[in-house]
Amino acid sequence: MKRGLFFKYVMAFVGLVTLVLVINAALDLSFVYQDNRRASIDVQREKAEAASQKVESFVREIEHQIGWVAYPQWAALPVEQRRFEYVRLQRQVPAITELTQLDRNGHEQLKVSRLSMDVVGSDIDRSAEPAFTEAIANKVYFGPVYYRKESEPYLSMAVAHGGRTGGVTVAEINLKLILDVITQIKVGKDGYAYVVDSQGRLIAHPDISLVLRGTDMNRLAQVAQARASEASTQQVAQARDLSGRDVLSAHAEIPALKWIVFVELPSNEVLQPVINSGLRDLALLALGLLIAGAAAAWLARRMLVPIRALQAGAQRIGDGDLGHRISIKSGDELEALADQFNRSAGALQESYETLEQRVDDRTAELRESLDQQTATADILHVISSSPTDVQPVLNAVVKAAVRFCGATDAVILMRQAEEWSGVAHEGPLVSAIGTAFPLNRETAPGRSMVDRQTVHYPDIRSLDAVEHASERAHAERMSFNAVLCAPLLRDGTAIGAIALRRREAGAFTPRQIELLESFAAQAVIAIQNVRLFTELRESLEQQTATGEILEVISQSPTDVAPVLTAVAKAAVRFCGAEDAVIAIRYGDFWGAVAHEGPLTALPPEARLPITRETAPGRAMADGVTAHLPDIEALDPVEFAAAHRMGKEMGFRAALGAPMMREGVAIGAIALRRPEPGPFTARQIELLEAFAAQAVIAIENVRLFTEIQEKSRQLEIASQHKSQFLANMSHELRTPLNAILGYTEMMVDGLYGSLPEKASTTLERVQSNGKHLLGLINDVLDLAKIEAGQLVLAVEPYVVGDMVTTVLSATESLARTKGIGLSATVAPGLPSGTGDARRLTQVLLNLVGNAIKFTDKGSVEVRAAQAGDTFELSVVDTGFGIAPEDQKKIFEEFQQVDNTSTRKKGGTGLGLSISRKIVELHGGAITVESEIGKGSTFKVTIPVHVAAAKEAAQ
Amino acid sequence: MKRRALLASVAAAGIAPQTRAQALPRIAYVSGRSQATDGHLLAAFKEGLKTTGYIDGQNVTIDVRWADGHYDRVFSLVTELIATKPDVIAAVGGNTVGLDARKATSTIPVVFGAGSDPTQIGLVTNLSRPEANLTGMTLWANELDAKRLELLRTVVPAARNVALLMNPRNPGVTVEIEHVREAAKTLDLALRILEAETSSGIDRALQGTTGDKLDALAVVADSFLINYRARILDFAAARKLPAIYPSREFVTDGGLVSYGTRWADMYRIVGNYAGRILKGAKPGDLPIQRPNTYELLINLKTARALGLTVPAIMLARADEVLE
Repeated sequence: MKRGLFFKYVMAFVGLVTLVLVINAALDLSFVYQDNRRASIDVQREKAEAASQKVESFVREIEHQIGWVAYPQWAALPVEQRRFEYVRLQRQVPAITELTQLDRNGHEQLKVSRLSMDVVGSDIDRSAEPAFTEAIANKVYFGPVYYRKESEPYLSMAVAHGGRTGGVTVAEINLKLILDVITQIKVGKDGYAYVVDSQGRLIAHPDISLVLRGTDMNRLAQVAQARASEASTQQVAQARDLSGRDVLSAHAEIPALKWIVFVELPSNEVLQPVINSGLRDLALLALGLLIAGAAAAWLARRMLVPIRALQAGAQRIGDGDLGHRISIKSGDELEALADQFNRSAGALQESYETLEQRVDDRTAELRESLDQQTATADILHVISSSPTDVQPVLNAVVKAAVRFCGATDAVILMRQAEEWSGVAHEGPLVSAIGTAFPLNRETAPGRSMVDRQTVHYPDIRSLDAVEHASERAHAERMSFNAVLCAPLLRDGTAIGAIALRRREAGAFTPRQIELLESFAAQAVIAIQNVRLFTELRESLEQQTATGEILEVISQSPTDVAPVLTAVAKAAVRFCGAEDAVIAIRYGDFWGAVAHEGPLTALPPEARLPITRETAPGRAMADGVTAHLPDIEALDPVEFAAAHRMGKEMGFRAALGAPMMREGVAIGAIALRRPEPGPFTARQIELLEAFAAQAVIAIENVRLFTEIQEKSRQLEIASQHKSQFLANMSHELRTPLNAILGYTEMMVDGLYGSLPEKASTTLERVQSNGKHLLGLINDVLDLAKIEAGQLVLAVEPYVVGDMVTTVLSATESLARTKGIGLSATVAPGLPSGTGDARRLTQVLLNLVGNAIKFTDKGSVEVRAAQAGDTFELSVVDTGFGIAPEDQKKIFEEFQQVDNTSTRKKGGTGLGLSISRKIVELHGGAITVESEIGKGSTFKVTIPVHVAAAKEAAQ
Repeated sequence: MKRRALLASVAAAGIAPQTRAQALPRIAYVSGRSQATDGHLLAAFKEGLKTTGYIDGQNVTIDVRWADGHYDRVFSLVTELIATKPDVIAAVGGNTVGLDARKATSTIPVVFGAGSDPTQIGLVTNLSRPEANLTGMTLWANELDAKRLELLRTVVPAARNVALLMNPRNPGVTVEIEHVREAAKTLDLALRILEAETSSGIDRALQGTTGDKLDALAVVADSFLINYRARILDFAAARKLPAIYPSREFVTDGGLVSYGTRWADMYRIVGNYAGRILKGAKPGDLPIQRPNTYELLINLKTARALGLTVPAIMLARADEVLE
């Protein structure tokens, strides 16, 4: 529970009273404490004085007693007398343990003790002791306190006997007996007195054990301070005793003995009256609190009862009991407050009742709005779940319209050009779905579409009979009397309308009108959606079709037929037709080359003249698309062929698109349909696109075929050339052989000796002839190879023999040039299989070349085996070949072009032929060279070459 | 003041049941002597205890054991009492009692009553600050053995042959005996030392003097001998021997002269110390107390019976004169 007013009132009262009482008590206590302290201090001081007097009188009494024996003549008394008197003195004063008589010279004459045996006339010289000298000088002497057995405090007291013969009586006084004096001193309740000597050692204390232990009191601040100061009595001080208690300490000195007597009283005893006073104040405080509490409670109750009533009433009103009225008759501000509350409650009740009505209304509105939103959401849902078909959406819209617009019936009408017809209907009334009506302002839908505005006829029978004749007729026929019609507007154009009809006449509310318009907008969105979706899909499909056709084109570069078939198929599929034909122009005629569809097609071999009588013909003739929506409706003369073919093949409509290349129609693509009717613009557009693709395909094939034909012709020409060369070489060689033969015979003198000059000439003829023969042989070889006529004569061979043959053939040449020629054949080479003659030719060519292009140094032939191949190398130390030339030298008619090579002559065919021979063997020939250092030609051939290897390309 | 009283009573009501619920503190009181000879000293002990607020049976339990002079039993009595877990042990009635207690425990505080100088008989080494768990008082009785010879000589100036009855097992006596011998020489006395350590030994020692010339008897301060004072007094009376004793009890029982401490005073100190230890004081903080007063008692009736005239000086010295 929260701290209420009651608590606060009481706390305030009690707090105030407490404050006053506490201040009072604090002041009171402060005064009491001061007074007490002052009083205690005075008492303490007096007690200290009194105590010191008592202690002093104890000592003085002993001195006085000793005085009885201390007269000058005493020394003259007989010893027994003196002893008797000493014994008596001891009897008188229990504190005296021992009495000693010293004579005038300080010699011990008599000693009477309680503890030890009495001694008479020992005559011990004690004249030097202070007890004697001081007593003689000052009459009385008090010695310092000393401790027997380190425990009991003793005092030596000496009294001079006076006179010229009088000695001194020395008494040993047991100070433990001051205990009686000390314990008799009463200070307050727990106060006590004690005595310290001039050294600060404890002489007397109520607790004798402290004395016996020889407690050094200097550790107490008050003792140390008292000893240090001169004054005989001191200010009372706050201090601590041996056990650490706070005490009020006073002291007084006994000057004769230089002892200090302390009187101490525990501080809490001094404080006791203050505590008492405090308790009294506390009681007063408690009483004050009690009274204050009671008074505060009474007052608070008086205040609180009406306030509680107010609170309870306010609570009831707050809890909804608005009819409750608070009743307070206190006649003051609280009553006024209660009245105010009552008035507020009344006002609240009133406004609450109105509010309820408004809340109901608003709730109904909200519910309706929610329903409409739900309907809208439903429609949107239908739209999203039916992207391709507008009909379900329109059905949903009319249903919702009937439900939310308070109509008997709803219809959606769509416009087609200058007509409109119903497409969706909901309701019990008759509707004319499918029937077309002219677009004019005589009917409500027509008017709304024309005006692009909502039309509202609350009572059709009250309309102008002339202007609205159609509408009135409809209404009568379909028995409705009110209509509301909103146009479906897309980009400012009416594409249809939605109409609400009602049997009873009466206006639709603005809200219903607004709602219908929103339904109209939704219908438009749905239609738009479907259109966009369809367009997207078609575009996608068209792209796919194009892609497919292109793929067919790429797969079939030489044959146009599959491409055209694919085009026909695509045309059927994407144009939404059943049948497609592709026609190709053959001069002035055309024939069908591809067909897709169920209708009969023209046989491929059939040729028709290109006339304007058919759709394809017309398209080819005019170079534009020909559209025949209904052939039977056409002129039978102008379209005679179309009529005939339509009947034969069973089509009523046709569409032909020309396939144009460089402005000339090379064919056409046509769609056919058994039913009459126009093809859509989209179909036409698509067909034209397919026509263009067909053109591309045909063009592609034509180009490809042309290129292929050209390359074939080129190849044939090349073969002819090689054949020619081979033949020519052969034909050239035969006469040249004859020339050489006869020349040789002439040189050999078979026809008689010849003059020197003629002989030299003949030798020249022979030499040039041989060179020419070599050239012709080379050309022949190359030609044979190129013509594919070189056939390897495969036989077993031994590499070593081949190398020997080559060396013996070239040895003389090398010797002539003065260069070394050698061969290194690896031992144990197997015998190979191949055309030995040709391989020898290759090796010979390489060695020959090496010798030819080496002016000094040597040429070496190396033969070795590497796996399944032989490696034959020719290494020279000649000029070397530049890297850029190293590839070229293996081509026909190529030599390294520099003066040195030209000087050496040659056809430039040797290496080319060698390469071809090696390649025919399935091997390779390579060169490594460096200018100025020489070259290494390496031939790699398989050890065994497959037999009858055909000539290479 | 009424309020304070009320508060005090409330506080007391709160504390009292608690005190009762706890076991009372225990004091083990072992005396070497007997109930008969030392009952008044036990009473003095209780008086001393009372000065610290403890009353036997109310807020303290005193377990009393008397060895009846059988000093060989003391040790077993002490150990027997230690089993009751006492908070403090009062070991009185002989020097050896304190020594036995000292031997039996080193943890339980012991308040002893010794006849001799405790430093000389090996109880403690320091009087003002006793070590370990011991403290107490000393009668310092043997210190006066020599003085007593002098006093005996004063009473009987003609005496020459003096018998000295002593207990050789009392460690205090053996220390002091040399002083006594010296004193005898000074006083021109022939000492006949009678040693007795058992009750039968007393008879034997005393009977052994039959036929010998004895002028006087001096009894050394010894708790064992004091216990058998009746027999000694009988002997002195039978032999008509003037005698001096170490304690007033002898004189009140018919002995001639006694000189020594008032024992009851000293037992009060023992009681006081026991109480202070119960309140938490440490034995080491309680100095061993010596007597303050010595008293001389003279039994004039006995003197008359012996036909003695007591010299004036003795009468002057006497603290008490019994007629």
